[in-house]
Amino acid sequence: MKGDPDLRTVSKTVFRDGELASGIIKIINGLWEALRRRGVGEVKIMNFCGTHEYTTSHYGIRSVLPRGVELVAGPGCPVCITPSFYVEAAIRLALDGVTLYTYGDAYRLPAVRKINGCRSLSEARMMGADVRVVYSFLDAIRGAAELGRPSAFLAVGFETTCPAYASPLVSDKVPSNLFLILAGRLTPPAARYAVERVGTVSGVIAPGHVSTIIGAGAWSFLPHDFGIPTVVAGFEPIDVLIAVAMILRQLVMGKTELEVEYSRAVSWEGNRRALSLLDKAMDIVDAAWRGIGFIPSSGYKLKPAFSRYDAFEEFGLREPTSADWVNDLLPGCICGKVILGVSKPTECKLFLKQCTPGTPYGPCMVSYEGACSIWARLGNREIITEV
Amino acid sequence: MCLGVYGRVLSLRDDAAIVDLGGGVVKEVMIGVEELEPGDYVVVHAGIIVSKLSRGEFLHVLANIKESAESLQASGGIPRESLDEILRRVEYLSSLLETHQPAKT
Repeated sequence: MKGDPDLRTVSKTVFRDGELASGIIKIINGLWEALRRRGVGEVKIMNFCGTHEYTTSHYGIRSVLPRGVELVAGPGCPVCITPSFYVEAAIRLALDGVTLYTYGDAYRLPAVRKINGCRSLSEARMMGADVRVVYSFLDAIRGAAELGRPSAFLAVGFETTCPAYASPLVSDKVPSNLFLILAGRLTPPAARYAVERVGTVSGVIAPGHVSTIIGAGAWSFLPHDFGIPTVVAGFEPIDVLIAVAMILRQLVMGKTELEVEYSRAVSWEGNRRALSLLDKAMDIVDAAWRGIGFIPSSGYKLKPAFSRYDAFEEFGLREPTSADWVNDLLPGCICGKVILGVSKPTECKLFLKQCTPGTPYGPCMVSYEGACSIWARLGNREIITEV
Repeated sequence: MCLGVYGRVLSLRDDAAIVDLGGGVVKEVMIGVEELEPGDYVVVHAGIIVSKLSRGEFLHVLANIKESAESLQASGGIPRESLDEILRRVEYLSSLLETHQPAKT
């Protein structure tokens, strides 16, 4: 209706409302008391999305929760888990004269081994390489078509991002001089890997935007196989608080279910068009995660029909296999444990000493959605629980 | 990195959409969803529309809060006055969202 405020403005007003947050915190406290009376001493809730970790930290959500309710950051940052090999390959190509496109976070991502003195694409650019930061793959397509030079795109991302690669491939919009260094990854296999290793996860806040693609149903293995209450949630503070309340409510009622809090954007079956594009363009393969190793069926690889766009084939690069995988973290870096939610950023001896947002040493300090970067920029070093 | 921005579709062109991303930013993005129309609210991520927002579902969260508060109060988990405060706030915020609900058929 003309004159009505934009739905997005109203949505921000509602989903960031302080009085409503106070009410939900009362609900959370009431549910926690019910659990405590039954002898529950601790509830550990893991998220699998950097944006959830950002919301949790930015709005100080940990400080308003009962002491026994802990929010833990899991593997939720696709830049952080991109193996060093892909960064090294991109640097090598850039220094060899290939125009290299990527996103802002991957631009600063450090490799373990220096390539001709460069540890990142930003350093390669300083050495004169043609490295360009773009907002989307579409920008790289336009740039490469205009330049006509051999070009490559360091294509990182989870299921949310990979349809942006698949769509122009399937519709034959990618110029013949643009090649993908595809490092796309799938989140549910990593979630399974993380909860198996952390062992004590009482609840999961599942990623909202990944779930717009794969559908909420993709997380049903968490309640079914592991008995973990799971809530697919949105990214405003009210979304995260209500997700915590929904998980506690399940624990109080003795249920283990999959619920969708973010139903305004997520369906049960997912985005059929995007899933179809992914299915046409990519195969799912065992793939490496930085600091972790190979996780079964956790990576995207271009299908043979699109191998002419594969930078590995075009430039004669060889992806490491599980047999020759070596840990790709710098000495002293515990990002592998931080990514899995086993350790907190503050438990790393390098945190805010040798490793800072300005001079990142480990991958989780690079991306704005990396747990170390979020904790360094927004606090969480000490959780304030009393004033 | 899976950050999504809420946008509003201004127009459609072949397999691309012109989307108002707020703050004066208007961009051409790829269409990654089915059955899109001008005026739709969408989630845009890295230059592609990954989801169409369902107007009818915005109230879902508030209904969930109301239900949680009522059942918790019934079991003695929160006092009556806290429930009343929550219900008043939920009612007010629901009224803000209701102007954007799809027309009933």
